[in-house]
Amino acid sequence: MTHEHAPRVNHRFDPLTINRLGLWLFLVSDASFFIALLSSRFFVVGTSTPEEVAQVLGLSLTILLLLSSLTAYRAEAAAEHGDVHGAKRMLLATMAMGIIFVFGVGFEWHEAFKHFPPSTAFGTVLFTLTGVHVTHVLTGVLTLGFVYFRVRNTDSIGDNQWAVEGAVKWWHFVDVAWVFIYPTLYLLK
Amino acid sequence: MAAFMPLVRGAIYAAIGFVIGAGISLGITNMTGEDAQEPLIVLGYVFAVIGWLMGVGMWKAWGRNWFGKSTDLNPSGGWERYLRFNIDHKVIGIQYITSLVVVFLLAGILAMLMRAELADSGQNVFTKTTYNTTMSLHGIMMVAVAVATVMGGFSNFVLPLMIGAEDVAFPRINALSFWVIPPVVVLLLLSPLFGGFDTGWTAYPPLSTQTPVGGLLFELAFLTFGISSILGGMNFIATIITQRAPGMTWGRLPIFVWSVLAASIISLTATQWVAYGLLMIIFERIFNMVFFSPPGGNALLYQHVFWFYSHPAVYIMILPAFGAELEIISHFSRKPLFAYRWVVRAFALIVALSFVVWAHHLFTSGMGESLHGPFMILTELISIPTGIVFLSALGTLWRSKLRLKVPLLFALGVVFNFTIGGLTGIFLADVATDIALQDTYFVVAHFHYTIMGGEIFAIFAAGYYWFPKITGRMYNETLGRIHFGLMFILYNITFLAMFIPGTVGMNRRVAEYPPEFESMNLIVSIAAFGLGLSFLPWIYNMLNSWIRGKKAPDNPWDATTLEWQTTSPPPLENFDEFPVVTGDPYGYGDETVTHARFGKPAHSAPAEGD
Amino acid sequence: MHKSIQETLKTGWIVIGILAVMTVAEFIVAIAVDDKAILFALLLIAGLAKAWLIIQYFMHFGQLWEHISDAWFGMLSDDPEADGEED
Repeated sequence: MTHEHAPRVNHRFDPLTINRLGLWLFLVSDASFFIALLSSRFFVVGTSTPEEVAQVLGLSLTILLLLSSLTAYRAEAAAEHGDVHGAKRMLLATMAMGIIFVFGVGFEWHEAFKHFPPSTAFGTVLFTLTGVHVTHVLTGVLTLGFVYFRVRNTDSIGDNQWAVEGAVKWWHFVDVAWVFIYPTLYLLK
Repeated sequence: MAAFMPLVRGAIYAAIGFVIGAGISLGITNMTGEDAQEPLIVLGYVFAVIGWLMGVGMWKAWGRNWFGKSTDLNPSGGWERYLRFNIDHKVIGIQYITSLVVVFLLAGILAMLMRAELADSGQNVFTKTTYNTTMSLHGIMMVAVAVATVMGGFSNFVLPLMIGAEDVAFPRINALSFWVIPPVVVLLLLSPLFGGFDTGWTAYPPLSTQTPVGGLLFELAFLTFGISSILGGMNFIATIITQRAPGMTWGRLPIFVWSVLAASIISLTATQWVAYGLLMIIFERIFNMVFFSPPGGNALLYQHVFWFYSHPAVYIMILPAFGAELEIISHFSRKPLFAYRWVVRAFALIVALSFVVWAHHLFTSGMGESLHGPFMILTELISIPTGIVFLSALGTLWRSKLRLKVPLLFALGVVFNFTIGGLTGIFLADVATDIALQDTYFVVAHFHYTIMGGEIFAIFAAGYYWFPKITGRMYNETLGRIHFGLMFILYNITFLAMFIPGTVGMNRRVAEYPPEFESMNLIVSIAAFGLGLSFLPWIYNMLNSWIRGKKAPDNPWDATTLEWQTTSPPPLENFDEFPVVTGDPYGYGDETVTHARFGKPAHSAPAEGD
Repeated sequence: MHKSIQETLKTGWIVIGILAVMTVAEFIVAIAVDDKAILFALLLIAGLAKAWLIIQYFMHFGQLWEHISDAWFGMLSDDPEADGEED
């Protein structure tokens, strides 16, 4: 975004690159939060995983989130090629999958409460890891929602290019976080 | 009155936000039948912070943009521009410095109260709990001052000037990182009213999971402060990479810029760990999770996670302090900085090592003994890069014609004090001696020698050094010298004397102690009161000079770096003519070296992030 | 220089295909392998590989470096000409 007041020095970096750099730096920072998060699993319960963990649900949630990354990718590609309609459709699809994912985690919590409530060691880890992640998913859905309405209101990509790209990058990051959370929570022995 | 409107609006929106958050939380706890109080505070606070930010001007300057509406950034104006969400890095720098000076003085008063309690072995001022709350508040408030005054305050003001930029890479995020500080201060000041917290600023569980609500307020405040730190770090890295003037190569960056870059890397990554540590405490409080209690949980987890941030955090404090110190020493010795490249390497090495030494805080905690040796050696390795920084300072001073102004006096104070701080640190890094010295006043004295003697002295050095640039007026040199003389002598008496009760085994964090330590503590207390009074000439000097001081020239120190080549104070866009960097920043004694030349404004597209 | 949209979409399908196969493979490996340490190592490798695929192909990490490297190395050298003064 521009300062209204400023004639700028001639820098070698265009705004898009600066925005990308800033977002990447923030992702590095957030990634270190997830590293802390994952390391606490090993500290509290080692590598053991109880048998009651909902394996099929976990696998389906993983596949769902990966698929939503594909639609997010396609939204970005459409925006890049000026395809407003395609971008809108793909953003909607991504958000929809994100919301289903949130409900899936809600169902998982409902089940998990019976076997390992938060006051047990594995429950502590499960609810914290999925809780922090699902909060990220919600921020992702919210961001995509803002971007969707901006694209819809102006009915053009124009100024929204970075908005789409940034939201999509954030969404992929949430996906990368899950790529590590899934095996850590469900698959280790 | 209109000037205070953003603050009033912020407060009202915060109240509304709190009600909304608390309402949502009440709805949920009603359904689940949980204890309602703490979730209500957490959720209410989150919404209150959002309301506060939007009220002070973030909505106008930024929020409307999310809905595709036009925004009004308007960074100009009179003094009222300091009282709202403003994106000018110079305004933000002053906002940071002035608010943290207030926090510094408040925390200083707390220290005076503690010394009043400790003047004799019995109980005078406090009960045991209120003493520990005071001690904890003093700790966290001073940590906030130490982390954010140089990183948020001075580097915000001078760093973009030093690299020839017009602003930081993300001006709005910069403003956001300041405006989350007021809620932090409010929460900390509220916490004694809600039972306080007697955990110290380290908040070790299981105690911290059992403190009254005051402890929860402290944890939320700390978390919020972390957000400020992370966003600030991100912003400085992006600024240093992308906003430099043409010709400002890596080898031509002033050393202060390098030190801020190094500290930013730490605050960007390490701060997330303490955020997670505090989150675990809050989860254990609210959801009865068992991170730190049986079965399965282990209180050591917190100590590891906490120190993984909090040890690197002392380098967030001290690295920019070293940068400012070296900067001042070079300009006032009129010599190029000695071993510039080695200092940069030393900074890089300190950053790398800072992440692998945290467990030296855990030697007496029951951590696995196989870890003692490696962490002892890694910790002691840090003295190598720190030594390089000292050699650079000494090499620059060597055979120079010193201009003994107040900034240089304070910078020399850093060299002296930090030497003592560093040497006493060896005893704490060494497992054998640490087991005896851990949790005694030796640790307190050592810590104050590094952070107060090192960083706070550097903050005063930087404050006097950049005062003419920031305010456009000169401070009173005589008063400055009086301040330095009193502070330096009384500071050293206070904390040198504090080593003695420590070495004979007096515990820290106690309101009462065995009478045999009384005489030493009385000396410490008297010197500490004097130290407290030594800030009075400084306060008078700063206020009086800012209002009535004589106008400062653009470059009162004949310094070479870019911030002195513009007017005092600088115009809104920093430079009337744009700098092109052509040589080293410290080209003293070599007439062929010019740091920069200035040309007419270039016409080009904006280059600034979102 | 811009890739055509068909090419971009094809990349997307290939990457998601590999990711899906790897996820199912992880699941099967977790059932089949009994040794804790080996399982941990295998899952770690798979996780890193999947993360790399997403970061490289979906998040275009390389793109960032492409845009920055030029000026970065210009800044590294002390030769003012290499940095290209504008105007």
